[in-house]
Amino acid sequence: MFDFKPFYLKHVQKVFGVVYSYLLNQEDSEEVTQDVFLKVFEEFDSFRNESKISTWLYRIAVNQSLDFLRRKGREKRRFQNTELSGDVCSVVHLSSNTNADNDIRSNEVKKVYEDALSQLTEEQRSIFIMSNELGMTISEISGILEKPSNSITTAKHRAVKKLKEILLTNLGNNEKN
Amino acid sequence: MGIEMKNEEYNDLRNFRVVPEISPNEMWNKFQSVKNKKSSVSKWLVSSVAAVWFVVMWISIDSLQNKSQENASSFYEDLKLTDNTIYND
Repeated sequence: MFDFKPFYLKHVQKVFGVVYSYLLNQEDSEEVTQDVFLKVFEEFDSFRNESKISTWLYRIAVNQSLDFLRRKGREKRRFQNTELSGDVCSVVHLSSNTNADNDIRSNEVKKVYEDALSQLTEEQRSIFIMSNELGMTISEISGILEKPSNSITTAKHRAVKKLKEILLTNLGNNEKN
Repeated sequence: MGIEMKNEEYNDLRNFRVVPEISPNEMWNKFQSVKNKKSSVSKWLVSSVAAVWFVVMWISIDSLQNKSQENASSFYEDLKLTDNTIYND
């Protein structure tokens, strides 16, 4: 009998990350993450070893997220700063942010960064987050999204370029001033 | 004027984190309660459907029985009528 708990504990943060990259909302992402694992729990017998189990799991996460967005009719959901400043919300980790000034500045940068991310397309954003934050390789993302690796690489480059442009416009740059 | 960004921060987007950290154990506990809730709802649904099916079947069998009784008595009446007709003839 398959022991579901270790499997759940091992993958939950990453599944949550994948879902969050689409929904950009913690509460909704937690709900959809539970739906993903419920689906996996119920359909575990139907899993065929054509792909890795983690690929199958993350693919379900992507599909459930897209279904959720379709259901709610929120194709382009904007960040809500109030929701993001919750108890377990992450803070953008910038090096040497140890004093209060740096923390304030870090939060401002974080807001701009989140806003910049929300301006990407869903696919660009999810590819960027999966690669940048969740540490997934291009071939893993390609398997999850069922798209060729070169499309994923192109989308990632476009996302990085667009993000830098937005950040440059909104934050300025010491070296350029 | 907005805040300025250091060049190394801007260039290295790997420094940024936006996905919140969650507690796997808390999520697991929530998952267990969602799963139990769902399973009790499906049990309730199955028993409700079974109950409705039983009532419908019972009503249909009852009405079939009534119909066959009516048919039997009308056949008997017809038979009596025919007998009488023959006798009277």
